[in-house]
Amino acid sequence: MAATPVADQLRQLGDARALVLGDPVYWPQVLHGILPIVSGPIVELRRWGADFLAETFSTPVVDINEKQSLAVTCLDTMVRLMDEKEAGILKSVVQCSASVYPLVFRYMCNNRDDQATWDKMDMIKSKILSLWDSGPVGVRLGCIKFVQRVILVQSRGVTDPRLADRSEISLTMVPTNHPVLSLPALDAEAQGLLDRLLSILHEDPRLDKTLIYDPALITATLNNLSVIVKTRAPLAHKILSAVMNFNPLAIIAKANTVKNRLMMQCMEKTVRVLLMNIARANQNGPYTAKISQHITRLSQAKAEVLEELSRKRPAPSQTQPEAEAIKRMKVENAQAQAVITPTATPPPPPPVAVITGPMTYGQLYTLSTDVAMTSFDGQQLPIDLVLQIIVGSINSLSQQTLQTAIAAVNSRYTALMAYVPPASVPIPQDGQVSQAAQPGAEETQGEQVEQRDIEKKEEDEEEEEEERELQLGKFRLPPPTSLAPEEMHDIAIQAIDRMFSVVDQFDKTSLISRKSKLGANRLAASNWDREGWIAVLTRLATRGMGDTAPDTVKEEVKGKDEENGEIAQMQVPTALSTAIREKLYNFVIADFRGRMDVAVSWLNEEWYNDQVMSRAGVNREPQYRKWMMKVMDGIFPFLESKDRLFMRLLSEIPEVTVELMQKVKMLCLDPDRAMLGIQMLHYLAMLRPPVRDMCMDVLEDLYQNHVEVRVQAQKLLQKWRPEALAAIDNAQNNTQNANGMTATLVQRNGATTATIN
Amino acid sequence: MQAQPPQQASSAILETSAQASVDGSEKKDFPLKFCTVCASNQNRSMEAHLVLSLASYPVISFGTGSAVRLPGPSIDKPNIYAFNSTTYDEMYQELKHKDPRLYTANGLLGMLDRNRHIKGSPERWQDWKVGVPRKDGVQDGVVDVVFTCEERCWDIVVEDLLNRNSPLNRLVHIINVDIKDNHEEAVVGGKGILELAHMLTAAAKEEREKYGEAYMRDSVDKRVPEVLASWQEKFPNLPALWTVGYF
Repeated sequence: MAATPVADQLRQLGDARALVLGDPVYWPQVLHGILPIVSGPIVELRRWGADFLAETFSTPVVDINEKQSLAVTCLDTMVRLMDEKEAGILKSVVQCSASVYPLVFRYMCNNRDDQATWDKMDMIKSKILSLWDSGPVGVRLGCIKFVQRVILVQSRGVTDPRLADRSEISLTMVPTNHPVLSLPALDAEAQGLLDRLLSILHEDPRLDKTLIYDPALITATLNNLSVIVKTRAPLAHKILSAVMNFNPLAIIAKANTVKNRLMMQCMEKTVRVLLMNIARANQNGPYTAKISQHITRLSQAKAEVLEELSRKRPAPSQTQPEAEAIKRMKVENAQAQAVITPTATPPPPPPVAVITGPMTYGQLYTLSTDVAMTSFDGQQLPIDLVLQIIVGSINSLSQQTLQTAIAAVNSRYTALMAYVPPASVPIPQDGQVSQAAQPGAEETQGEQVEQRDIEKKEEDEEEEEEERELQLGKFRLPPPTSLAPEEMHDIAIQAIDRMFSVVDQFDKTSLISRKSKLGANRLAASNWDREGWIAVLTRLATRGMGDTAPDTVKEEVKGKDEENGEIAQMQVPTALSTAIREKLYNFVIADFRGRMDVAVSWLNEEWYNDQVMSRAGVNREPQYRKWMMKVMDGIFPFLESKDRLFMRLLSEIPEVTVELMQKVKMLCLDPDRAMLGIQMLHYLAMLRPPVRDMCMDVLEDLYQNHVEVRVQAQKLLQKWRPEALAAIDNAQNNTQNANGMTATLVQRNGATTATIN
Repeated sequence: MQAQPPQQASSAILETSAQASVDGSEKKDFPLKFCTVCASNQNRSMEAHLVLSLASYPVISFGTGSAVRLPGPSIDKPNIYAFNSTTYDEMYQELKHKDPRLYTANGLLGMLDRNRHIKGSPERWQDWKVGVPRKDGVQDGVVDVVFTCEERCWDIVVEDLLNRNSPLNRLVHIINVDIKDNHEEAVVGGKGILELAHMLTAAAKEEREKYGEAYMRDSVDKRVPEVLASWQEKFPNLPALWTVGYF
């Protein structure tokens, strides 16, 4: 030890450390042993001691209660070490203090009168807070952590006792009448420290070029916020709004260097991970939506900046494009622009381009020649941002710049007025729609004023260059290549098929709930529900496909029509509408019980269209009867006696024909379904007076010619056509009298046989 | 445990541990301790682990995945092992037994053979108890710089540290060096990481020797951005990412 005492002592200390790392039981003992050395004159030993102190209060292997009592005994040493001038030592002591602060705080809660201990802690705190501004970066990074600990300790934790972490140290632990710890003061201090902690996020490198904009401090700050947001709800809002207002991409505005580009990405990524972490911790939290929005915006902005950078990199002067990129990304503070934009020399007066023809307000006021600028839609920005920009720009504008700009626009305007006859509207509002450069062209004048202001500002940054490029020619999309009729047909069919598949996807709602409450005011197909799509399909089939237009593709005229000249001249439906009808037919038949409503609305549309067409005097083949009968032909064979709902279909179709009644009659003759047929007739006769006669005709026929349903037919005829009943009976009686003998004989024979048996 | 220490790797480990035992001198020569992280703690992080320990840096390594995944006979039949428990040696023996030809051809056996001579078993980042003393390269269980080998791993590490609430209050630089997960890229990436470690260490030593006006012996922390930037210029194909976190 005599030869090289320091090296020897260090080796001994190293051995001691190895011992406690191997067995933490010895830790308190060793710590007490080294405290005198740490305060000694030999700097190497103080370095070692500071590191060891930091390690002692960091290590998870020493029990927290043990640490608390050690903390109180170490405070004196720490106070002394705070006066060191070595960054390495200070860094360790500050780290140590961050660990010790909550422990001493907890100690104070339980030892109310130990003013001396708290004073020492306070002293350390104030030294750290002063180092926070002026110390070396490594130390300041530690200070940030220390401040975070102070904020956590001196604010209220989770209030819900079920969720609270018992081991957590917070303001909640402090008894109300504590002689040393004053609740309001501690709380206020924490609030103040939080503001100070967040202040680094409010700094704008574009505003203050001399600012030491240290990404290490910024990312360190960001990485300390998550816990506070998660466990200190009252502080969350302030922190999140600071984080969301922080623009990690702004650093690139200082200078486009490899370092700044890299740091930009690092900060952006740190913000993102932080926000994701906060959002993930509380999926249903009040900030989740905002956060995901912000993250999306951030990635867009970053992509834009990166694209801008890669595009502009070859340019010799690099600050300008970056400033541009940043501004478009987030025009946060308009005054910043004044700082970035070199405005040393007065801008040359912009040459006035010769403008002929109609132009938009946007064109009129745009002095920038940058394509990116002119294609920028000012309306994308929120109104408050626009106002900020305007106020900022006006403030930072030099009088001369403004006057040149106004003069330029003024001369343009005069030229324009001279060109357009003054009596008419000076600025035509149409005709320039295809010009993507000015999306605001058709907006109201009020909005255009804002647009103008944005552009005015842009113009300042662009230093008013030539504006010949402004006159972009009208752009017209070339017409698409025309499709062959067959192709069109096929594509249309595909589209129709898709619509049918959509209809099937909806749940079938009950008929009652489907009834629109709007009644006659209902607008067809206004909702994209099942009903809406059906309305679209049925109308496509009937009126939609230009059914009667003479120049559309016609269905091939059938051979039968050729024979009969008159029919051939009738307009037949287009192939496409026939195809849609076929599809509708198949659709209905595939499940006629479930799709009766489709059939009803379709057939109603057909009937209506037939009426409209015949009233318009169009010579066309009516479609209603044809398709109605086709549907009925499709349905009738499958009807069962239980299909009472089918009556509805009969009652709801617009027109019941004789042919249809014949089908009903056939139904009545089917022994299995006779009941259903009779019920239909009954129902129609009762509730659809116009077809009552038709029903009675059928019944009369049944009564007269078909014995098996005679009783039922008689009942109904009795009600609505008793005179027919009487007439039939009379007629039959007459015939019966004529054949009286025969009948009697037959009867007798029958009776005899019965008796014998 | 992992038997038969091979030539170079083991000598590096011995060297490192020898230095670790002489604590004071260890700190002087190695102001920074490192940690390498990839998904399975097999390829990229272990390659970097190897080169850093060959250069006598204190280094440990981890994986961030839920389990160790190694390619199997087909893409849907990977070999999956548990972190922290299955040793590299066991994996080596098992795969050698299963299909020596396949696993020699795809380089897995070579990789596992390398790994089993570096440390016992793959470790999971999320299970790492930071600050608990270790028997290997980093005796006190904390590091100054974490190198991740993939942006996803960086995300996981940074977020994991946020969730841990930094009980140690100790500063750590988390640096991503994006490396594709194949053998060749891992070698290239390992070289890049080694160079970065050299540069950071050099900066740290420089700061330590420097006596500034107001403060003496600054730390390396403020130099990281510039070091990283100049490194990035040298290795433009290994995109870097960095943040300052706390253990």
